[in-house]
Amino acid sequence: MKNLVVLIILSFLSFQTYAENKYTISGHVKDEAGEDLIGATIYVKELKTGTVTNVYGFYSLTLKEGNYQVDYSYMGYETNSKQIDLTKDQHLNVVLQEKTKNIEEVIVTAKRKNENVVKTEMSTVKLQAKEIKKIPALMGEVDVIKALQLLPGIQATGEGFSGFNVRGGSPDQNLILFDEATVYNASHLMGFFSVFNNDAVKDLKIYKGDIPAQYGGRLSSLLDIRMKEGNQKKFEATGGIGTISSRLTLEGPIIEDKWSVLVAGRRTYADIFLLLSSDDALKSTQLYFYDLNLKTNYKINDNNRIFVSGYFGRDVLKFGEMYSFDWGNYTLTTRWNHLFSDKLFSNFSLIYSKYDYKMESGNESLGFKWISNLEDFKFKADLNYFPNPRNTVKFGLEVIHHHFIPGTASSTNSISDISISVPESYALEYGLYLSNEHKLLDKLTLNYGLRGSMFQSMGNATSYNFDENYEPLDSTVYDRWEIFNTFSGLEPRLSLNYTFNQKNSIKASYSRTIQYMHLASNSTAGSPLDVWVPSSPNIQPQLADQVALGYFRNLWDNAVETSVEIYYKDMQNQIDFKDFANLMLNDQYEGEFRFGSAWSYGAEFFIRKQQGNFTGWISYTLSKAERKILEINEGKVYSSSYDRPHNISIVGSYDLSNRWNVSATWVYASGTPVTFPTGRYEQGNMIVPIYSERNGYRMPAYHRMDISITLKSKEKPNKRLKSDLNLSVYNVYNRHNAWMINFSEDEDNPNSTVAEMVYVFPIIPSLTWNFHF
Amino acid sequence: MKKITYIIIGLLLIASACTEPYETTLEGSYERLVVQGSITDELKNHQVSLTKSADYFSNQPAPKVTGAEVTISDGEMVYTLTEISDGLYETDIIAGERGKTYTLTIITEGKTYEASCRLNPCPEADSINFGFYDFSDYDIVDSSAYVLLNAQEPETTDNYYMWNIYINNVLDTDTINEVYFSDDQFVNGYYMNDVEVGWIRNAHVGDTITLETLSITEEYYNYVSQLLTVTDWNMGPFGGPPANPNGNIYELTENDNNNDDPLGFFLAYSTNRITRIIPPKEYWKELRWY
Repeated sequence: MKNLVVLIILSFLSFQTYAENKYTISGHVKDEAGEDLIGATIYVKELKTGTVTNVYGFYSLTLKEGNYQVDYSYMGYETNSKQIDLTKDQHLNVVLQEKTKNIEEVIVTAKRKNENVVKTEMSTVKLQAKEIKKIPALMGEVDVIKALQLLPGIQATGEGFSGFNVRGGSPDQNLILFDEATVYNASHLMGFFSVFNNDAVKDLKIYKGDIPAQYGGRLSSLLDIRMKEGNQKKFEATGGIGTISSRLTLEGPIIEDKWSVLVAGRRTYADIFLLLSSDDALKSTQLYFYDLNLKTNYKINDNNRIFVSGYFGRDVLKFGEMYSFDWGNYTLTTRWNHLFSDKLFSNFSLIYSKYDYKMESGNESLGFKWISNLEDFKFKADLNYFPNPRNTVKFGLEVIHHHFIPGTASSTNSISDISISVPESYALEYGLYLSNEHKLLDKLTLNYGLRGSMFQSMGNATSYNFDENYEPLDSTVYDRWEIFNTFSGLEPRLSLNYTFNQKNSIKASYSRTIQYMHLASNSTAGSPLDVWVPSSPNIQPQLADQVALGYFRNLWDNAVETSVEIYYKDMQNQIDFKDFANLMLNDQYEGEFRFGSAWSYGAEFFIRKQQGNFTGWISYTLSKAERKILEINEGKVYSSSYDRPHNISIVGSYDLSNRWNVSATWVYASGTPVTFPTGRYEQGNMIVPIYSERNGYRMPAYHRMDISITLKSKEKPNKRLKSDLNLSVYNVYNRHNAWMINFSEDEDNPNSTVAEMVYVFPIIPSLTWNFHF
Repeated sequence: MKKITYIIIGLLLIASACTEPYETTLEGSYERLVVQGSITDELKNHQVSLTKSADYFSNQPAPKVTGAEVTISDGEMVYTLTEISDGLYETDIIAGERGKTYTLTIITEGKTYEASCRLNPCPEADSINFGFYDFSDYDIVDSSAYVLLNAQEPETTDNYYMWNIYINNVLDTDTINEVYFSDDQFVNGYYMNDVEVGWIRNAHVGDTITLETLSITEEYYNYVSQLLTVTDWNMGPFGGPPANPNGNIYELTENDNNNDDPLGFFLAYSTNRITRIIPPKEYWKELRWY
């Protein structure tokens, strides 16, 4: 593998030496505040070729000697054209200015972005923090994950939840990276909010398939969220006061253009309102979450930059002295960008991430303390090599050390000092990759890559052996560092783009993904108590093969992007659980797992307009997701709990004037499959339902409309403070969307049973005041 | 402990959730035999009731199964039960013995069903106390009392208990969702000192309270947990997919279709009772979340 890497690099290098008089332009593309722009386009007019900036805003373009017009462009920014006389290697940092809106002006710029058409990459969508902000939000909390759920192929796991399913995959099959650190539980408050504070987010990109070879470890998607770096030019403060939370972000240079710092914080205050409650029991209740984001970015010189970023968030739930429960994520990322040459960009990262929870009950006779913890150390090296405009080579490796403490509960009461625990364990996960984006012909671009991955289970650990009926036989204890189980696999990734002309293209992709860690949870919603568990002799890695085909077309001078994609995904070693599975504090949890296969297919239609006064998108997904597991549903095929055949999202935002904006969204989704009772019997003076086919029924269809109106403060030349007032109304027409259907005895009527629908969010208005100076 | 988690999540939901009736039609289900019966170490008539399952919205009392042949055997003796009313079968006055395994056999409509259960020993209760939580700071008038048990828990692991409360000799915990039940995970081998095992909604000084401790099997403990999981503890999307509780009664007749297994449980258990009159409140123990 390593030899292959070296060989390929050498072949490009040797190719270089024979080509004469070639020079490289390289540098960073930034906005006015010094934020790197990810995916900005660099287009050479004369050669009709170009490149895009990588995730650190870096680009490198090697061209023959000559005189060129190079256009630097980025969505929502003015195109910056440079006349370049290329007679030697050049380092060129380019600043792009944000477009200023003018209501009368119909913005027509010479060169519009058609990146979505010409890139090989498919099944991806990129959203900017600014776009997300315009979407009406639940309780005014702008939420990146809620925005994602409006995209084709991506569905919310349930009303209001920030868990999501991608193309029929489970919620644990999404790799969520925040500045490259894995976020294991992206939810706050039982899933109603996500951990990402939009003010600290620069942009995000979701890959629903065709995941680059650089990334691995999850089957269905990659959500790559990048934190803002902090303004390099001047001090700025951004914040907001909302219905349930307040936010404040401070950023600015310590040394202008060299060293910047960003600190962002958010805290909810639902419990402060509880103090006003007439119910005394609620007064002693604490219920809040907070997030803290930190980032610093130091540019040593043109060839070296250092970034340190961290996230700390926690949910706290406390009922007086009787009960407390808190959980949260920590991530810390240290990165070093280094240019070996103007064609070889590198990034080295050291990453720490952790998810843990702690539950304590103070009761004298039932008191206990329960902790769970998952901790990762990751080293990553990523190199980008830009030999010529036709090839962009990426290669690198990653090593992750996982430490699992699934759960330990110890009694703290006066009666006993017993503790029960699921034994801790360790694992090493490796990835090695090489990929090349290769412009084979003017109209045909290929992106091929290969990822090799390996997962090793390591002591301290206790490994149980089970018989064919999942009954434990015996166990083996392993010492620290002792490797007792290894899985490995090759994950080819391939995509191609055939561009008919600048407006039309066809793309196709195939990818294989392997997942070595699994969420031990049988609920659809997920809860903070869910733990991640490693593959082991009893749990095989999950495997997926996905093929996708898409047609991309831009209309009206790229003002409107449209696409249709169809996909088929085949998944092996899929996990479900036995009936009444006990997954908490069960040291033999592996015996509760059941394995089988799953598949999903669908078509996704997407129309999006990102420029002008009116922006938004319409997405429609037609899909099916099924599973087959021997021990479940009598071995018959059943619908996945996330199967929603029809899913429509309409998102629109209109700038009425420089000050007023109205936005609206409407979503429709078929009800999720559920298991309903067919019969009943009596037991212990209760009526007990009898269930038959798994997921044989569907919840009522889900639909909802949200609107928001934003009024910006008047702009005055000498006033630095800008503010806006946002009124959001969630569920405008007060649809009672079923959150669960409960079958129970009729309390007033013995022998009678009734079905009852529970809904969580009626119409919810909220007001948020945002400021910026 | 799992229960506590459910309660907490439930509390959070109730804070914002609203309900309304939901109209739906459900497919019918075929009839299955439903068994509910027990044998204890007390000297008495032990009862087994036989009913049938019905469609979910049938809204009728469960149909009774009459004319069945019902026997209970301890491996040596076979006791025949007589039908004392429709669907209710009773032994003569006998007492089960601790440590023996009892087998219930039912023959009805040409099919034979069988269930086995071991009669586990039960530790003696030393005394009971009454406890309360002080809610006076919250202006809450609380007339309830907690029943606190003092007993030595045996050193053997995997003991499972259930507690019934009788108020003035009338069973108060007559519905399975009112009964306290527990495993010994956190008390194994320890002296259970004022452990909360029951709750009396309206406790009146002078009432005679009897606490009945049942030593049940692991299967029954799981069965009751599962019954509650699909009824009172149903957490919707936060819980797992619903399923049918695993009883211990199986059809013996050769038949490939597993679904013909009856529903319900035949339990053998040992028991002891301890009685105390509720003293004036100054003798109750104040419970604290410390």
